[in-house]
Amino acid sequence: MTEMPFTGRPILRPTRRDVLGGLAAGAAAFALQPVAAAAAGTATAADGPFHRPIPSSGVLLPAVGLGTWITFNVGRDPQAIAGCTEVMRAFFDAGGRVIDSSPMYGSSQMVVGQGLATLDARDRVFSAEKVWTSSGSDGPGQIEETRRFWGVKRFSLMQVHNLLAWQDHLETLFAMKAEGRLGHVGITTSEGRRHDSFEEVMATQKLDSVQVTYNPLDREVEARILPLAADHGQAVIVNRPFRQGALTRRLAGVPLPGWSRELEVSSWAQALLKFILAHPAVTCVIPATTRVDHVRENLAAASGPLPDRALRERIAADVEAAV
Amino acid sequence: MPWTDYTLNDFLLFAPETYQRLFIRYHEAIWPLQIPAVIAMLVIPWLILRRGGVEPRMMRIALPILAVVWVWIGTDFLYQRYGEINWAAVWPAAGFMLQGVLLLATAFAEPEQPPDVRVPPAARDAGLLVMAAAVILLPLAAPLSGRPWLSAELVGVTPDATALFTLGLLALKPLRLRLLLLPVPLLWCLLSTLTQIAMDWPDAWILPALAAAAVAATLLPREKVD
Repeated sequence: MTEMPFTGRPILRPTRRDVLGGLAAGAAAFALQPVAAAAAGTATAADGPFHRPIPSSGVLLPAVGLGTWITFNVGRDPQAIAGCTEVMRAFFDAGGRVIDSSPMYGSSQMVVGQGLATLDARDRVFSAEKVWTSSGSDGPGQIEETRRFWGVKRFSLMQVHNLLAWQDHLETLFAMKAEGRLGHVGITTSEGRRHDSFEEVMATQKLDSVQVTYNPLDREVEARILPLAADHGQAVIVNRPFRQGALTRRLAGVPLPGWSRELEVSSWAQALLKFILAHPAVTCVIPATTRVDHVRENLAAASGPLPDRALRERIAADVEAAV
Repeated sequence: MPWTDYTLNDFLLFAPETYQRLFIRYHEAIWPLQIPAVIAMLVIPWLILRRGGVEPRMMRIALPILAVVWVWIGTDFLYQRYGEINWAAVWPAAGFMLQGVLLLATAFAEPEQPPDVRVPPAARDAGLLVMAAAVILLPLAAPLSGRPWLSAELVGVTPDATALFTLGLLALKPLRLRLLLLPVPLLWCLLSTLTQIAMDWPDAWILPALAAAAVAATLLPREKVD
């Protein structure tokens, strides 16, 4: 599959039938019915974000998660840790579950762990972590140290960060999954790095998920990686939807175009997230933020209508013209 | 993964606000140690220049004072505090401790009174100007650029101002051993400048410009005494 067509409807609004149909069809619908996939495979909670399944397990994830790159690396600063905890509180209150971090992110893991303990949210979180060390033999130790930071019994998802020593780490992760010590296995990249190798690992390993950078300006993954994920039944987690905040900063003074009313978005951030979520291969997007109002705004993007193919192109063109 | 795949911003692990908070919390935690630290730093140029010209034997007092400051900043600020938000801080921390050892060793490895060379006036003046900038200009850079006062660089307390002050002092040293003391402060200035550029600080040019002036002065050939 080289292209994933979108529905002819101008706006995709998940219906009850979509939801039930999507859940029943699961991963097969995702791969075989790309037209419906943007809406099907999408479940809407009563008043929270819509959910999408991890194709290999059927586990439903709210379509907007929380990244921690830079934003949660605040050291032992009590004031900043309290701020991060409030962001997590707002995230969970708005129906969020997926939190993603990495040993590369400084003190972020410790800050997430403190937040989870304060909020008593260890059972609610979908814990997405990474192993990031060039030595395969150091992987299990690093994963255990990370687990202690989070204070969880096991991780929902463990990913090989930037394909670093991926052969050795995947062996470890698949073994942990087989023993029931890990929920899902994935790989990550960001900002278009090593896509050739990434595709090779996607095609040859039984991965549950992949994590890539995707936004209206960084669309390289649309050509091969997103279709490949759909073909292989792999969930797609999208990082850096705002280019580390650079996109939203550049768009800050730009008025929202008319299509914002159709999409029911009140900010460029929501428009960017809806652009991403409208791609049928995308399972979850993980914007990072330090602000409670932004985390609510981000979660709200996983509700209401999504743009169809034509509107996505207009959004991308408008973003490109504005920055 | 090849290092060429990374950009400068990929190495910035924290938000600019977090970096500022690091300095604010540090200044709050060590208060009022800033006062004796700055006074100790001000004593150094006075010791060396109190008789009008550069008095090399006073380096035996100045360099050990500076050595203590370098080790302190390396252990307390870089390793203990900066290390919380930058796992790579252990390397500059080690560099600062090494610089402390080198400063101490140099203080006593050189003869008290160099026999046949003296510092050219241009090097002396440039060195003094850089030291003055480290004491006066760097602390002002934060508030003048819109950052909080408490996040300011301070000589004898924080790494940028201390590294720059040290580079200025090296310009006042007559013997070749001064070159041994150049790499660590120079590398720190480079690292700090890259960090500031990644954070989009408008004043990121100040540190490298002054450091370059100090290095040029330090590299100026010393004059033979007739």
